Amino acid sequence: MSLTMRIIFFGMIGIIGGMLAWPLAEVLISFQGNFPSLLIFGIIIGGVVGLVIGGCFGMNEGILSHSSAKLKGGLIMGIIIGAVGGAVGVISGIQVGLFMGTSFFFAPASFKTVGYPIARALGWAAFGIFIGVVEGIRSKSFAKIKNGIIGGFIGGFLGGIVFEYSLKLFVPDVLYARLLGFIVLGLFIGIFYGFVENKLARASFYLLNGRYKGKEYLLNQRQMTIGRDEQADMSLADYRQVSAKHASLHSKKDKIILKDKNSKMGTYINDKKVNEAALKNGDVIRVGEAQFLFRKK
Amino acid sequence: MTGKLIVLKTVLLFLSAVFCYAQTVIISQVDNASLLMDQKIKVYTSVTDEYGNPITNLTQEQFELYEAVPDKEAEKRDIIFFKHGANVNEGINLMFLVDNSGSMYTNMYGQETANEPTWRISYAKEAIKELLRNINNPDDRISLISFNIKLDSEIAPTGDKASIAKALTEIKRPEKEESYTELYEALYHSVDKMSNTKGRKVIVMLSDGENFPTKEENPHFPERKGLDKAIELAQREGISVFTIGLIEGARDPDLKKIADETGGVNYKVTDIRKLKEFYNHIRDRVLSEYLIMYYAGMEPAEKKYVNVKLKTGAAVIEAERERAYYSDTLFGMPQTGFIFWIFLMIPLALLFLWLLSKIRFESKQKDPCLEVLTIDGKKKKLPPLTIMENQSAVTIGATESADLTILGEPKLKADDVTVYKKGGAYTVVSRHTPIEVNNQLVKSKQLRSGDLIKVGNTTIVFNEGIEKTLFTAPHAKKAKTVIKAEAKTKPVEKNKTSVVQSQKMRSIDKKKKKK
Repeated sequence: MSLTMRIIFFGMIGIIGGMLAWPLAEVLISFQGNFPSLLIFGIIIGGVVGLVIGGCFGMNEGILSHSSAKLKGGLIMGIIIGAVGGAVGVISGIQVGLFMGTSFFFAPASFKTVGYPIARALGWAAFGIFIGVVEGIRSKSFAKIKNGIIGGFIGGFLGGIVFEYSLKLFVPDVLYARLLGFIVLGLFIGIFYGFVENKLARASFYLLNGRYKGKEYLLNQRQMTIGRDEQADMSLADYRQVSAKHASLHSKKDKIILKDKNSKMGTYINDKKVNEAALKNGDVIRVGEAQFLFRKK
Repeated sequence: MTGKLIVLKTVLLFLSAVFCYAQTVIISQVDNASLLMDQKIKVYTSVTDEYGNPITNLTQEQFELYEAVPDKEAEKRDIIFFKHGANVNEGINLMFLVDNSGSMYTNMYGQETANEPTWRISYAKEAIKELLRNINNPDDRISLISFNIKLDSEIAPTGDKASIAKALTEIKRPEKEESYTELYEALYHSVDKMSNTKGRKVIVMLSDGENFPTKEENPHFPERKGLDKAIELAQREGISVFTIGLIEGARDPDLKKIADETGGVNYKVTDIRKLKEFYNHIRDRVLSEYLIMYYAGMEPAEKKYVNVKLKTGAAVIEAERERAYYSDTLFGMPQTGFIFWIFLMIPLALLFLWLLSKIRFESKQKDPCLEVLTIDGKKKKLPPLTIMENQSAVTIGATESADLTILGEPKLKADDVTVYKKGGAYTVVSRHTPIEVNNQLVKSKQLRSGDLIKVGNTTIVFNEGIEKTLFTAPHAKKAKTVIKAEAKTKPVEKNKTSVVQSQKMRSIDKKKKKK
């Protein structure tokens, strides 16, 4: 699976998240008048929407690596972080919307048509950030959190603009407008998460052989583990002679270091057995029977 | 005794009714800043008597507060906090709106004169300078606009009084064709410009009072709003307009109307010294407001309208204009009527998710093969060259006779590099110069699956396919492969990969350049 496919996949997951969140949100919105305060309404609707979309994004890695352990862990983490993140995201989104919206709403008419949707899109961007960081928190990776912040912001903002314009102009029926809005929002958060991940990654590992030949792993964390273990960041369950915890990668300043973790069959760089070595662009890495091409960006 | 009392009461009631009628209630600001956190809305209201003086002794019981969503009846809300003199120390936004039409260059009686100091504009400038001298709150923000046929001399809100004074001296007499007085439009657009600023807002308009628009189309104000629209907008924005009439004789009705209906005061100024107390008067009036707080309703709406009613004696006075605040959530308005089929989206999404999880992004290459990975460092997608069961060797070379032809590699000769098959193992051999396999220079090497062979600037991956790598039943599969191999024996010729034409072209280009 290539990196482009990975981005498309994230987008698809986002669409599913949007599709799932929509009917639940509709129910809550129709009962808005029955909530005691805007804060509680925001927390609950944000929590529910975040739970669903976060849960979907949490399953990303699990589905991609066909690991049920990663899937379960990711789903649970995604639901928890997504619910919290969604609640905080919607609250900050409403606050940004109220703050900016108020000044735009009462602004001179010429300014309103552009400024007002932008203000509300900024609210969605805040929501996007909190959904984007789910995967980073799951894998306890600062780099991934940063990735999620940028990707979530851009995706949330652009998705929010589509959401706004579809609500206002595009679709007269709010029901379909919101469906479209949620789908585009999920799609954009997913795509931009993947896109930013791609741009921010310092290097990639291109799998040269076997069942997953052509799959490209991104160096998107400070530390990454390689092994047969399902929980490994680069999980190689379908390759022979790979130890459960075979090797690890460490990103230090401008160097990327490969360390062997006392594996049975050893770790090789350019056919030479190594314990610990810095990687150069174009190096061929062997872990058990899996061979990678290391590419610096 | 009782008779006298009744008479007295009646007189008092009558008086208070008259008095009340002259009172003006203005909602100057609705603050939704803490709406999300504690659901509270703050409403700033000023109450003035017929002379524009603030009334300061009103109690909470005299006020009633109403909130409405569009198309629905207003609901009374409980007042949870009440205070007088709410923002006495706050700064105010003060805009000077100066008439710079032709008639401002006459004296107070409207007579042409060469004596500049007696011109109305001179009085206006002096008046503003006097006001500037009296402004003593550093939080005040002052702006300036002059008008005739268009708005001009604009200074954005600033704390720098000197820049206003400087801009005043730069106001020049207009050309004849520009000397009309678009008073109504100037007011409307000045209010519109001010609507974006926060806090308490006041416009001080200095004019000889007559709206005298051009008869022709005015490109500066293509759509005419008129006086009532201008006053309405000022009321909506909570902007009080104080008018200073620079005219001797009768008061101008427009200037009085503007001031009365926006909670300002109309002055007639022929003597600049009278302006001494004017600024303090504005401050007292504007900032001596009542703060009324209430809990907002949860009815979803983009805009909600707030209205205040004041009960004095028998009379109930409504605010001149209800004010709106923005209350929208991120999600927009609810659907009218609930539709249950929307829940079908859930199984649909789950189905989609299930399908997505079924897609296996796996390599379908079953048999050993050679595949071009990059040319000149760029990824190239070319079909892999499968090494057939019955082939004992495949060649990589520069001519068409090779199984894998690479054009444009000057060092590569015909059938230079060969991959031999012996037993189950594959070995790469270079006949002439050593080649790089996994970045190591070799003449020959037994290949592992995933080895990277570098021929000039082209990298080729040797891949054994998934048959060998995986634990699959080898015999059953092998039988199949044999059949397949037989079937494919003939078109071996077809089974050649040649690096695309463009590569050839490029190498020709290179050669040309070298020459």
